[in-house]
Amino acid sequence: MDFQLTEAQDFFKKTVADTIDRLILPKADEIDEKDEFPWNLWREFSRLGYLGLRYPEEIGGMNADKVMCMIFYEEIARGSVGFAQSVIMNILMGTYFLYRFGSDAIKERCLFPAMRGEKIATMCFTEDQSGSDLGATRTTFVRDGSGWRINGTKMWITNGPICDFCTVLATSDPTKGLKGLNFLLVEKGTPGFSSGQVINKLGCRGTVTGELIFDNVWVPEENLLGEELDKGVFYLGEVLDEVRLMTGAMALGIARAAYDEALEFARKRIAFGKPIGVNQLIREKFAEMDTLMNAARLMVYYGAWMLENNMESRIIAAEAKMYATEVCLKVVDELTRIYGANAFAHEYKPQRFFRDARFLLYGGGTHEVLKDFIGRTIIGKL
Amino acid sequence: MKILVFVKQVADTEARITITNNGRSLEVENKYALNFFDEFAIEEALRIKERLKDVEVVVCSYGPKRSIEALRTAIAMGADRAVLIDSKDLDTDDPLITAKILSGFAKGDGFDMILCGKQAIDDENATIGPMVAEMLHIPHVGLVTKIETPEGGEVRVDRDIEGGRQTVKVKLPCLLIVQKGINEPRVPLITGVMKAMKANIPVLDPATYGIDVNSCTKEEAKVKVVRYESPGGRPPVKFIEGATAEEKAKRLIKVLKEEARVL
Amino acid sequence: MAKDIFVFIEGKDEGVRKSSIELLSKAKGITKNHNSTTYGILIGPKSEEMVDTVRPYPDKLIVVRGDGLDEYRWDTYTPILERLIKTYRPFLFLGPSTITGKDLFPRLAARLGAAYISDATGIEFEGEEALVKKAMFGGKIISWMGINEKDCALVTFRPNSFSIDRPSGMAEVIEEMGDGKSEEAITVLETKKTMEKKVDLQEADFIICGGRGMKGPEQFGIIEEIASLMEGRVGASRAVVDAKWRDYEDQIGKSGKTVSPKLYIGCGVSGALHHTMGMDTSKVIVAINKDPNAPIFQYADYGIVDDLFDVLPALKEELKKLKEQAG
Repeated sequence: MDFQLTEAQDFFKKTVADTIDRLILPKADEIDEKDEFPWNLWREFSRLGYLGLRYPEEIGGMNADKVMCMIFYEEIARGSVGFAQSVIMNILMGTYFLYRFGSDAIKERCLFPAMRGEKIATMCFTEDQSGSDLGATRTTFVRDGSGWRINGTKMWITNGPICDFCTVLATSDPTKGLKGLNFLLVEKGTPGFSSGQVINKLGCRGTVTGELIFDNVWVPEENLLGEELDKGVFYLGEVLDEVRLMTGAMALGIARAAYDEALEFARKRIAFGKPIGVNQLIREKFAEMDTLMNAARLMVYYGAWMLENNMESRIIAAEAKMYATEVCLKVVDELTRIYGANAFAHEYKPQRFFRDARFLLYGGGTHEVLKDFIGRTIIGKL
Repeated sequence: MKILVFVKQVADTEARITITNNGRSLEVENKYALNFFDEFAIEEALRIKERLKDVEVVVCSYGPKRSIEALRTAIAMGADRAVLIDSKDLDTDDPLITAKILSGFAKGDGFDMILCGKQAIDDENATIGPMVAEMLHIPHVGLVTKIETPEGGEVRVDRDIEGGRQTVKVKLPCLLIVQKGINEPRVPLITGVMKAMKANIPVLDPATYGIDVNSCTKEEAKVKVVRYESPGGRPPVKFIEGATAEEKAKRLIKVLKEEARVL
Repeated sequence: MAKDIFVFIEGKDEGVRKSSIELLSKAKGITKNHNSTTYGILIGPKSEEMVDTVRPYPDKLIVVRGDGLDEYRWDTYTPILERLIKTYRPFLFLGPSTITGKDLFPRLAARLGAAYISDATGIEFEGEEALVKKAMFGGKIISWMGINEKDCALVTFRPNSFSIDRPSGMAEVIEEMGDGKSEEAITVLETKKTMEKKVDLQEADFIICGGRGMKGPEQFGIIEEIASLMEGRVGASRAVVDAKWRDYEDQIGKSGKTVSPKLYIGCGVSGALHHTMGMDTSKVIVAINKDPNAPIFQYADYGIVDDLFDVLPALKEELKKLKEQAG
């Protein structure tokens, strides 16, 4: 058993942390306040090459192992969750199916530019009437000549309004439920493809999230991403654990940012003539937070290690996402208590963590759905 | 052309430092970083390399094993290679010893130019540059704010002097001490990070370069810390109250004059 | 060995740097106890007035004259000092931790193979042994350094480390000749003095420092006025310098200058660690900030919680009155 990061991973962590501290952290409040996609920061950051994090070196990636990926997700979320959402969309879900199934032409046109930050990628799952319940997807596609015709509307799409291409989850037949799911690539400029409402979000501001409309959109044959028709749910399974662990890692990132803020405050803030950190009730909060964060960290990185070693990780990934997010919410909550009324002021950081943390409840499955999945899997078919 | 850069891994400014062993030693929280001012030196070496092409940038540190991490950062930024001279139990408080070891390395490895940062932010000595230059019998220029591309065995630099600035021309080989403002150190590209993760950084014994190790021991150190102390804390702030800003200002002047006696 | 002390006299413009006089006062206090001699070392005086200004402070004043010595260069000053130290064999050579001091002393220490402690803030004696006080880690730790050296040890001190005693006497002047021929390796092409006549930030007794709360560069006028009224200097926090409201030479903190004036007034300075590291050794710290929770108040002796732009004009008026009273 070995719980230590390798020297290389440790160096990677410190370098990423330093990069985030320099480039992203100083702009986090501004990104949140403006709630506009930070184009300059995007260009500056993508130039560094992190968008190719998880892809092979031969195609310009870094071939990072899963532990390193988690390190990256955690650190960037510690900097700014709003910005992290956009970055991670390009790194993971927005490009995964192109990397896996895309033709050379598609890779050349979409994947490689996305790895360099020249194109913005996204993935569209959620609809107005379906989120975690993917079997209820209503966006459809049908064979049309040498290609496919897509119809439907997607909601809550990260990077949606600014994306250059998207991977759309669509069904070949709504009655088939999960067994009719497929992924299709749609590029900006395709007739019938447009962006609708932009959501004014409570948190994770700075990443633009909104509606994408597919009105009789025709795409060529090769844009169906997958070897076989209707196997989408299996293909999704290949990456779902990483997505869930990634969400858990982001939760760790926010939790750490909040914890650090709380710690600094508890050491420095004087009340009744002493730093508030001398009070037992404040100390108890740190004992509690540290315990929870250690447990969450162990789960996320254990899950990443299992994933890296090709072990069955569906349950741990779901548990880690759920647990780390709940820990994050708890830590942020404690921060707002330790910090006092200033936590309620827009001038200070705690309110941002408080708002951002809540968004993690939904991505990668709501906790209610995840718990049901975990329980059902454990108990088995009765 | 070969540029040597001397760097130090130091406790991060955020690291907690505790005095232990009855004031005889320090315990530093495990948060270390490449010394702030040394980043400017590395960056400047890399910029010269980018302009002149045929330049090797070698980064060297004298310190404990953990310093390898700081050297990896240098590689991630773009340095060609890095060398750690392991201080082992030789670690002393005497800058003369560090300078002796670094100049020994410089002599052994060779160089045309040496760059280093203005000072280490831990011991705040600001001594190594001039000391190494003296030991190598080469000129040094302190507080450099601009380095032009070396040409014809010379380099023009701008530096701060008391109450002003000066442009000087220095013959190579030389040692330049750089300070903040000279450049904006780069954030490493991921390709650099990958290279750094895999880089094999040699850890050498000081004796490797014919340095007389016996003259570098704790016993030989000419200065040493006798004890550490916490700086005396200030009493809590006294807020000056008053109905208006004018009244507060008036009262402040009164206490500064009569109580603090600084006016 | 006699416990004689050398003090390096640094010139400033046409006069003498105040910190040199501080060191002479301190040295004299030490040599008095040891029945030894404090020597002032003045190389290449720009004027006789400079010699006269220094004379009341040391026991003896060595004045080294020679062509080309009026501007400091390590390559001309180092051999002169090496010769003097080998001739007079003092046990301590003190100098100011200024740009010049930091350039010269380590070079000289390496040449002599001498013990050297830089950037010290105090010196005390335990019996025969000198203990030198020095801040480390941005002032988070104070270390007392011992000297394991029989020959001359070199120490540079931060300006404002010691007070100036009333002078008593008139030093005997020892004239020496020095060679001002510089090394060919370094040629000065151009010199631009930017702060002539103004007191150095590090030497100022009074510093009024503006932070982000100043709102913009145009608001620094009132701070400038107060600084010049008090014959002090304007300082700036990193945020202000990064925003290009002030020049880097005004920056106080980890990545700027370390100051310890008699009175520091922070205006709209939040008190981030990297700033306080550069000013927390000031004798008296005043903070003016509208946020009562600003960390600067943890470092301050006196605080005013109010709008800067209401307090500063009032403060200026009060200081003006004070100056008028003093005549």
